[in-house]
Amino acid sequence: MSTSSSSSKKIVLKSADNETFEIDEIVALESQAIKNMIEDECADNVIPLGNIDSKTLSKIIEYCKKHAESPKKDDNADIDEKAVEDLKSFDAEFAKVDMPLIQDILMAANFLNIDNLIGLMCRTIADRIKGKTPEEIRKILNINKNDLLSPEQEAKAREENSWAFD
Amino acid sequence: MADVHISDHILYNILARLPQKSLLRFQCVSKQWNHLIKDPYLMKLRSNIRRMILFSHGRRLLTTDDTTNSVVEVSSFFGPVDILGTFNGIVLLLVNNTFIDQYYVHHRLILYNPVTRVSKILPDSPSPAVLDNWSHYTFGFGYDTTTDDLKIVRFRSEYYYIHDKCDVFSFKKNSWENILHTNIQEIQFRLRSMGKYLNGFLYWTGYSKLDDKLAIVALNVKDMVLTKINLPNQFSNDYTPLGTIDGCLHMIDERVDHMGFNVWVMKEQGVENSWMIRWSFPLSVEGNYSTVLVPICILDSGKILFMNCFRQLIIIYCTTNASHKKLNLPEELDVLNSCWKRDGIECVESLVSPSDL
Repeated sequence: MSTSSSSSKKIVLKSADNETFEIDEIVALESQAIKNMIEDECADNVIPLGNIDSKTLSKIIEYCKKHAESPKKDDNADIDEKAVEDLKSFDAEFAKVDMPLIQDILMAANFLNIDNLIGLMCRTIADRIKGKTPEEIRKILNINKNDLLSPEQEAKAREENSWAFD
Repeated sequence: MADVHISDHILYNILARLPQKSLLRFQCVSKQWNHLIKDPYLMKLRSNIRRMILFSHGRRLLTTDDTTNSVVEVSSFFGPVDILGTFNGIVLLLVNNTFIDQYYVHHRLILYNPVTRVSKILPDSPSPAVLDNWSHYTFGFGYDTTTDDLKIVRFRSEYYYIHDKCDVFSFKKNSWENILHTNIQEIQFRLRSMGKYLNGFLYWTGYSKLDDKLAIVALNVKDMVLTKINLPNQFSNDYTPLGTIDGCLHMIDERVDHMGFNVWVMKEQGVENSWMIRWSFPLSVEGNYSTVLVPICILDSGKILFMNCFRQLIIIYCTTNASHKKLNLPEELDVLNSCWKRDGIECVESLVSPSDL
């Protein structure tokens, strides 16, 4: 766990819509991409994130803060169960947002390389779509119309797996 | 939101978390989904879970060796062993160790990891240690998600085949408890039916006492309420093993022409009118038609294990490519063929220790 949070270095992130967020470096380090930039000393005071809007970025910072504050598994073998439970319920609450935002967070987390958050978002999407029909999924995930199967291909795929449909 | 393209590696990450049944359905979402779902790489991502098959044979626990295509011993116990269930790579075994008047009367319940071969003996149950025959018991090994507790459920009869007493072992409490409020009165378990766990429920084959018809007995592990699930009228086999494939309950019976078998799937868990025949196939091995082959285990991969009624032949039938192969049995097993229990189980290979449950 961090011991010198009061004296820690600050990092400023700038969203696509030019909003700036000042955060502790330890929070920013949750992102492997930012960590690499800092280690390679190619990060200025302000890190511009031209493809992440402020709504998404503030969610991501909320996630990173919580995870940076929580004791890491490898720090301490006999980690207290309460902290693990606390983080689990935080994650569950965090994922209770609408599908477009889930996808935006996923794309941003992918760009920033935040492994846990990618996993959380993928799990959330999987949980929400597992009982749906292909049509519903196309709508929910905004699947590009140009990428659809031909009617023949689709009929064949349905035929082969007919038992999996209701 | 704009048309956002999900990159392949993100989509793999999502797909790897979906049940097989959803994946089959989602092949027609788009070209990208179709392509990735059919890619063996996805299966590899999903199947870091390896499974092994176990049989009991007298005192011995046996498994199959894929490289030599034969049946080999895993280990040997202090008495005749029965396989009762599995969870998370650990199998629950019943080892009998006292022999009186043709019956094994005292038994120990043992948790066993067949990969690491580590075992743990569970505390004795509170009920009489001496009962006439373990056939009067029906066991289940399941998981209560709401209390995050593993449970062993044991129904027993003090009177001939009426399983009206229920004891539950809680792993959290490390103790047995008598359950008084079960509604077992309407239902009777089939002898030696092995409990199959799926999503919070344990399933056995049994009979309704009202009409004496074959049925599935379902136990909600959370509240210990039993329900009866009727089987399709055409279904004929009361010795069917229960298994799960693609996250759905499956069972098997002989075709009317006696030339093969039907594999049934319950498409919606717990919904009795969702049963349908998923596969129907002819099967004849060395001139033996289905009448002498007995299905003993439905494997998660869609394979089915059969044993012949003389118990000297075990074959694995693969539903996906409609072929079967014979397993080589060690010679000494032939002589002891009456020791075959005709129960097989598939368990996940894991390094979990029985003490960690």
